[in-house]
Amino acid sequence: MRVKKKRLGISLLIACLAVLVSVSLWADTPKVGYPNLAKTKEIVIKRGFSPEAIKCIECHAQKTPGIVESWKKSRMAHAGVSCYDCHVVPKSSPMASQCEGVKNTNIYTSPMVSPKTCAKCHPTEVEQFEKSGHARLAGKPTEKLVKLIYDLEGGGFIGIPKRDTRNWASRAVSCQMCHGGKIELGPDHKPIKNTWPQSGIGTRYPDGGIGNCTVCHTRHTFSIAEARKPEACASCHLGPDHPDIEIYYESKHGQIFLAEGEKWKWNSAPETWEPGDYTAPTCATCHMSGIGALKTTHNVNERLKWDLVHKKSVVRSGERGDGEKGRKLMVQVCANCHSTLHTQQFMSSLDNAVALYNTYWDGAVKMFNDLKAKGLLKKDKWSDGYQELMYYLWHHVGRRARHGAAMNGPDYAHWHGFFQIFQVYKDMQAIYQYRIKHNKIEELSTVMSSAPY
Amino acid sequence: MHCREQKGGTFIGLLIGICITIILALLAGAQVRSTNKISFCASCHEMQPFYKTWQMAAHGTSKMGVIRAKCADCHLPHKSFMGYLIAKVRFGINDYWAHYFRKTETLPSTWIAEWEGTKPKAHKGYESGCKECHKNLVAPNIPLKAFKAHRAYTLGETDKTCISCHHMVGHGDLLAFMREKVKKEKTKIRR
Repeated sequence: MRVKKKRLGISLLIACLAVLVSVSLWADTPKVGYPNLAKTKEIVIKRGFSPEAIKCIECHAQKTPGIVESWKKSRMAHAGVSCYDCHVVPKSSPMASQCEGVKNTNIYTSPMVSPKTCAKCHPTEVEQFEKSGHARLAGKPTEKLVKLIYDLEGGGFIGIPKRDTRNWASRAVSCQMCHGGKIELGPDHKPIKNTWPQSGIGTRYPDGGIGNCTVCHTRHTFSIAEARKPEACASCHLGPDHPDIEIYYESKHGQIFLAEGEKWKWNSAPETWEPGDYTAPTCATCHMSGIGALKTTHNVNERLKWDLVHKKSVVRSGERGDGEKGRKLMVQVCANCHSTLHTQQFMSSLDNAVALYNTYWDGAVKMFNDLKAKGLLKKDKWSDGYQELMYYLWHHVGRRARHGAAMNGPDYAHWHGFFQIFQVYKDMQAIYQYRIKHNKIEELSTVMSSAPY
Repeated sequence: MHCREQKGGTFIGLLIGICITIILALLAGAQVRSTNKISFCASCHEMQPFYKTWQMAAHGTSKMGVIRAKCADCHLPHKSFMGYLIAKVRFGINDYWAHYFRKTETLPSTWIAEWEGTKPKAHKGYESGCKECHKNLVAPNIPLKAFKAHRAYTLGETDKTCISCHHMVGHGDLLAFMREKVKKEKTKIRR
């Protein structure tokens, strides 16, 4: 009798456990939709959006929940701007196509959204941006450096034909991801392979729009706080040719950001983000943000004196800005935290560093012209030691020295900069003297590695 | 006596002159009204595509249910009365001239070339026309997104005009309509 009772108890316990386990297992398994997605969202909106816009949101909450989740947290969503406002285009738009959800309706959509669309609500920002080096000028290299992109990097010189997709690989994964390239369309008005998706700031869209706002305000949250952080710039401004994020992290500004940035107020309204919200500037603070009497600008060239990017540094003019005015504006930025003397001395050491670099460059050009006059340069500059070093002199080490000087990164101004400039220059002198002395070019390039990093 | 007769003649002359002027002015006024009618504008076959697309677009259907914007409401300047009249006469003569002597310029293919950006754009709607009706852009109760979108315009920070963004209000997707039309005409010829 006792044994029977015990058995009954055990079996009851097992039955209870079995029910509990199966119920919890059942509750845990997703019941609808897409097993390979994190979770299936059912967003049902009852107000604030047109029926067509709601259809987009509800369908994409199921199909691409990540996008809708980011959008949901955005200020765009708060303002009532949804998929429909940016992705719907007129039927006659070169980018017009139809997704499954709008098939057989009069609604046409585009996966690409050009700055022309952003300008509908943010005209001032886009107009300023279009005048900057970030728009048309940034996209120029993918248009102009055809030989470098296809014949050299794309393997044209080792026999890869022009129609081969490998020929486009370098452009697709590298050049256009920062500089931006032309998006080309197929007969279905959808972007073709290797030209989209891309994250270049000078992207050229089929509707004539140039630029890409989502490089710094990443879709689909379009955060102002994100664009104020130095990491927003770092997707492109890094590495051997312009280690700007590295220089920033090394600078006192960057050190304070790394130490205290977590506590800063990042999401103040436009034009109200001022010292106090932060205790040191980020890239955006000096180059773009409203500060003191200065208004916010999306023209990153506006507050710059020097062109520190090209072969010889000159005061900016024409399409690259107004250098003299730029310096005055930047000094005005500095004045929010630094004394006049401090700023003047800092700027004079920058000007001095630029003058030093320019002297090296002028010397290199002099030797180059002499070699050219005497026929002592190879036609292919990438197998000619002198010309290769000359490239690294301005494009890598020279920029590191100049940018390091401009943004207070002494390690880059020195070890990666002037310390290497003098060595590169000495090697160039040695090649020059050898060629003049023997009146011939060395058979093998004296530069065997890709870069004196 | 002679002098008196002369005076009387001047008086009668002035009276008749004033009467004729009033009658002419009334007639001209009536003409201004009648030539502002949609049916008048649409009476030329060149205007048919514009008439049809207008009917389908926001200003023609009057979705909001109150007012329909007529051709002359948008395509004539509304800043001053004289400016309005001068433009009306100028465009009137231009349209008659085009109807009889410059037929190639009124073909759909010519319009398509213009809108695709291969030819410079010439004729647009007038912003003063938009503002006759849309007086208060930032009206109470407008959606937040519309408030934001009109901010830079209201503050005078941008050169953009109404139709830079609202280019579909008058005739919808006119380019798509013209392309369809050309396509249809081509297939008709083939048959």
